[in-house]
Amino acid sequence: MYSLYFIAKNNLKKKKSDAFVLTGLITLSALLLYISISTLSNMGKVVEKAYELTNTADWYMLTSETATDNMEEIFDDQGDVESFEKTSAYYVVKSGYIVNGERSENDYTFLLALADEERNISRIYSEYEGELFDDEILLPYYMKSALKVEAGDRFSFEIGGHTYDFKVKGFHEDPLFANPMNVSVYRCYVTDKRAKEMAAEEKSSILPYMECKAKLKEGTESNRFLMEISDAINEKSPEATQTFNFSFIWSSMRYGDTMSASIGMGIMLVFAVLLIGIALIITRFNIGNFCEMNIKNIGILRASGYKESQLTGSFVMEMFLVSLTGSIVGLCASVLTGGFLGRLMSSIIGLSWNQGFDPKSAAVVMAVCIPVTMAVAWHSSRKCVKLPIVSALRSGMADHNFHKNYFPLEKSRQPLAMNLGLKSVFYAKAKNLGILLIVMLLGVVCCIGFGIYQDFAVDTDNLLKHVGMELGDVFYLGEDLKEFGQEVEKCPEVDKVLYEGSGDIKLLYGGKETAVTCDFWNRPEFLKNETIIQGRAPEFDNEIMLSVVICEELGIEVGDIVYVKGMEKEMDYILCGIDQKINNMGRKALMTTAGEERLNGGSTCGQLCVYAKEGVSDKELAKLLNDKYPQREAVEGKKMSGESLKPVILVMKLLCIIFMAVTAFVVSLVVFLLLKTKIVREKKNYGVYKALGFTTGQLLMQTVLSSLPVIVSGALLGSLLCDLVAGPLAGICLKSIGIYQYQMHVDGIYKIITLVFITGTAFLVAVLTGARIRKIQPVKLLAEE
Amino acid sequence: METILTAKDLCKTFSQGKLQQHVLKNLNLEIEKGDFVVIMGSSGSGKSTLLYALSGMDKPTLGSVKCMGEEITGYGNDKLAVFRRNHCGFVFQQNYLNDTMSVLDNIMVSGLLADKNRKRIAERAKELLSKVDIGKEAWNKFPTQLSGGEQQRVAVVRGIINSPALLFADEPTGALNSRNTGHILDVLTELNKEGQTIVMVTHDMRCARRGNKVKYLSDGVITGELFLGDYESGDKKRHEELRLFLQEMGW
Ligand SMILES: Nc1ncnc2c1ncn2[C@@H]1O[C@H](COP(=O)(O)OP(=O)(O)OP(=O)(O)O)[C@@H](O)[C@H]1O
Ligand SMILES: [Mg+2]
Repeated sequence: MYSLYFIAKNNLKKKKSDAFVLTGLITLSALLLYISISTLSNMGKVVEKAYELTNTADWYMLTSETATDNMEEIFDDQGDVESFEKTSAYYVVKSGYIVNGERSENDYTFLLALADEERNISRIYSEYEGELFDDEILLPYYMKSALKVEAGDRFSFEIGGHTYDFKVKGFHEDPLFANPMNVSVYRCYVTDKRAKEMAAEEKSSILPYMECKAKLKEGTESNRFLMEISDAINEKSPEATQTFNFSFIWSSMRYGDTMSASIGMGIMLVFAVLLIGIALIITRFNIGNFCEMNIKNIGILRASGYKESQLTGSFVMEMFLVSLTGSIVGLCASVLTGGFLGRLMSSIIGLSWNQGFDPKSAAVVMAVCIPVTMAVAWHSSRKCVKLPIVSALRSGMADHNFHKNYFPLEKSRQPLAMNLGLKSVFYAKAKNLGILLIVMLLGVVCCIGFGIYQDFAVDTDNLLKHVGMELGDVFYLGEDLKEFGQEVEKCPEVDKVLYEGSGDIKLLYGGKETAVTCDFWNRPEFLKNETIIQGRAPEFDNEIMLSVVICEELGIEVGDIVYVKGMEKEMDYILCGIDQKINNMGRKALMTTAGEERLNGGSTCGQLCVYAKEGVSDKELAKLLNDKYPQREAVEGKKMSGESLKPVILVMKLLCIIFMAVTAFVVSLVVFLLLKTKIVREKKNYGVYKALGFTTGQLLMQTVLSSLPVIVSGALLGSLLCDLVAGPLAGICLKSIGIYQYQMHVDGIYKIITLVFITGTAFLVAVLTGARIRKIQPVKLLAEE
Repeated sequence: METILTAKDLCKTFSQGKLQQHVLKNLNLEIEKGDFVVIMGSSGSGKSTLLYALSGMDKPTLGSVKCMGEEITGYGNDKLAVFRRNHCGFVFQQNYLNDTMSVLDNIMVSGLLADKNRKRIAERAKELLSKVDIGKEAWNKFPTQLSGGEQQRVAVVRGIINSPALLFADEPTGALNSRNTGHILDVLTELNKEGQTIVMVTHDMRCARRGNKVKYLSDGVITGELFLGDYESGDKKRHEELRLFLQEMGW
């Protein structure tokens, strides 16, 4: 064993820079791998812990105060319910917010819960203890972690021209309202007195609501409970679902909390695995190259009586040392970056990230990184170690021949220069192909990075379309919106107005039954952010559209008849189309208002979406409407969505940056290795060239140029292929969250940036690495002969 | 005398595509303990090939090699490796020292195979190095910092570090000038006097006359053999005898 270590150590010394590079690569892969694995496996715990500490509601409904009088009765009758609680809260339809004098760019929805009220379900969980004063506010933790608000800051609401000032007392964590991706509302705590004062002054935009919360008995099946409770509410307290309301069940919110973080980390995991792949390819070339250069040393060791297995053993040992160091350094780096990662995660999720170092994930990282590198070392050293000793000793590196004699000069008809070029490319065929593959992959990765950045961070319209969130250019929330909508539609600047109501329905098909929230639109065909995968939007009162998740659950297809149970009646509907949604975990139904009337005998309306005529901007429209109808609050759709999409945008930006950085790193590594081996290998030739009168500059240029073609072609192929590869790849990732139809679109400009970025990095590193040609002295080399 | 190596009906054929080249053809040979056997022959006659076959570095196409009572002919690669580490030492025309290890480490890499005791191996290496006139100051140098002659002496030490029964040398002085050649030959002669069996391939008459047996290889077989007594320096008669023998062999 010691003799193996002895050789391994020596080999490592000999190729310090190679070993260094590989260690670096493994460090990086280990770091990314650890980050993705540990966060993916701990995310649930973070959410679970907040759930325990707050005694979070398993079922939550926010609805108009007046509709909740007999809620207790309804819940008392439910066998699955362990406890029920009602607390009041004020729903702020739209407010700008000002932190330390700085106005937010977006408007947002707030929910003011009352700090003085006794509560057992969804308790306040905050590290800032003590009584809340009238001028103080407890903000959601997300505002601290993502929006960088701090305790002690001045925080003001800007509602309908008035501002309401508070001092930030601290932050509270609530897994139901953890981040705006989950529920597009910031839930805050203020005193009873203050909330009432505000509500009295802003009747149109602060609505008195009621939070109904239930804890369910352990083992309650959420789907069944949802069906039963919606039946019960529809029957005994129909007003609760007829006004604007939202309700959700914890089992689906749990995933909502961590969804954007999970997607991001999932992508990072794939990327880490890709990096390990690259490290393995480089290991392979390194060992192959080392064997070629040291074929005689290997021969002499075998002549001295080393067994083949001992020599492969020394390579395996060497890679063991490298990968061990790499993964340990990577894990240490993860400890160092742990704080940053924690802040990042809590800014995405909106709960405090209290996870320390995770030994289990670290063990997984080690168990992945080390054995695979060792296996590759074993495999790639076998070939050269197995070479007969005599041939090993006979042939120096220069004329040693692992290869076929490609393009024999005697037979070929090409010009000599081209022939020699082809010879050298084909001589190292496998190597060049490997590099081409690596660079191509990186090119694709870069393009995908840009693609998701563009689709999810820059182009929010596009994102909204994927998400299926319809807000209109301007929207209204509240009660009795129907007549008001007809008013609004008469404005010359308004193109059209769509009315949305919603309610819970039950679907029966093929012996299966499921509950789902259904949106009712007066004219669904005009919805802007509706992505229909198959069929068309409902037009008639006997048609329904279901989201793809539901269709798969029921096994239903377009044209089939589904049985729908509403509040009073049960009706047949034809499935006219399938769409995609990601809110409510992709579980949604959609029908026309006429369809709703057929089912429920009446229609609801909780939201008005107003669309501007061409040439009228959202802002102008909002101002115009607010001036004209001051009693109601018109909200700009984009501003509202901008706020709730912040976590996704952050994740996507981050991924894009990581992709770029790692691409630059790996391209640099590859070019560095490529050129370094070339220079070491041809040191003698360079000496001779210098003796013949070549300048360093000439040699440098020649060397740099020799390495670029393969890089450039790789990058070019990558950016060309990205459309082919990226779509399906991103598609697979997104399918898991309910986005079934996603056409990734990478702009030409991004492809060019990718190309320039990779080539530029390669060129720069090549010139820097090539600088060592300067040190080669013509005289010394010739004298050595 | 005790026979330590016997080769019987050795054949070695190299084939490249349809072309076949028979380099050794039913060659027979014996080496006795304490011999200093010199193998001569024209370039390309198969001297190196023979040496490799005898030492278990390469497998003959046909025939058998028996060494120290072991029949190595059917051995697999691992068994051959163990055989070499226990019984054979090598010195080549180029010294093939590993440029990235110190002189001492170069020797220890081989030494550690047979003896796990690092200290003992290091002691023995130092002793042998001193014996071939490589002083302390050079032990931790790198091979490239030594002269060609010094390097080759280090290579000889590496060859004998495990006290092999047989030391094989393929033109050990081929790359050296005459002064260094003399020095290496003196080392080999000295070792032989102490009982080391040596098999040496050479082109050089000055080297050949050091041996006590000279075998001439031609057309794939040993065509002639000359017995010389133990070497004494300044032996004019010995040189003349050798010259006549080689002339007869058509050298
Ligand atoms: N691996 C091989 N493949 C094909 N032919 C070989 C191989 N090794 C040796 N030969 C051929 O066998 C013949 C003998 O080679 P060998 O090296 O044994 O000669 P040699 O007597 O040592 O010559 P020199 O005195 O020049 O060293 C040569 O013609 C050579 O071309
Ligand atoms: Mg030879």
